[in-house]
Amino acid sequence: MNQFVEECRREWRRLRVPEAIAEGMALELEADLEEAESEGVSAEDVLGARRSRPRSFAATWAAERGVVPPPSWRERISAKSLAYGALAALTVVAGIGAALTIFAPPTSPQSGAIWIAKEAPGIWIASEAPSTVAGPIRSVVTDSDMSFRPLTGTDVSGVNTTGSILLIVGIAGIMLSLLFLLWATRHVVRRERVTG
Amino acid sequence: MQRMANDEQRRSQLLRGVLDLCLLAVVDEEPAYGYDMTKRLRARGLSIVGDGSIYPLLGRLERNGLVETYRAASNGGPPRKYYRTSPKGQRALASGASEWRATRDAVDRVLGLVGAEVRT
Repeated sequence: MNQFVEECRREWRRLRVPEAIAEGMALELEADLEEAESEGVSAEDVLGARRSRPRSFAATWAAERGVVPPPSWRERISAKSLAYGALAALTVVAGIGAALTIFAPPTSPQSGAIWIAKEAPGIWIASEAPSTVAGPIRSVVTDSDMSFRPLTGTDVSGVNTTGSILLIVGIAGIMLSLLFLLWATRHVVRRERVTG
Repeated sequence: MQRMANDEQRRSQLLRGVLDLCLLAVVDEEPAYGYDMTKRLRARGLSIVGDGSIYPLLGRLERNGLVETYRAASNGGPPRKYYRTSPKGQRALASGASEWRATRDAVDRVLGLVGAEVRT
């Protein structure tokens, strides 16, 4: 069995070339190489410099014949692209977490310093429950229209906890993504060396 | 040594642009299988050089519908895959040959000038 043809077969299997077509190409090549050998013609004279690169030769032939199935969506989206996408998303998550952790009010606010409107939750900073509040469209609300309750430690610690969780998840995710990116880069370089 | 390598590289590049036309011309003359084409090209002074190989090119010609294939027994050997030009391939061959001649003539005119300068 011709070693070169066997290498081609392996590459066509890897590329998922339909078996009947791959076998047809293998038989065609094998018969040609055998005839050349019987006439004292070297494989280099038939295959050129590609004689030393069976996988590259097989891949090129299959691609030119148009028999390599199109890559699936998983193969189209490279590992590196996925890692970059994850890195960007996790950076945003970590950023939100950091913002919540840094800018959240202290867990024990001074009594009366922070107030929350019951009907339209939002944080109002005032020395006492506001009697009139200027809204975003310059509407004036009186205490008879809107009631307030002081911000409790539970509200603040909830914000802090959420921020911390997002920050930890974000940082851990960024580190994992960076490790994956390193692995993917090395994997691609190794694969290019093999097929190149 | 370096000059020989450069010559071979140039020859390989020149051939790469017209090898598909040469293959079409060979199988238009008479249907042939892969190695048979290699032999016929060599008999006319064209050997595979550098990275050249006819198989990927044959694959492209087949995919583009410029050649048709069929299996037939060869001289005592296993059945072989024969290639012959399709009507589309014959039109492509005529057009390509015309382009090649026009290019060759233009290059000859330029290189002819260079040759004259060297002689003087």
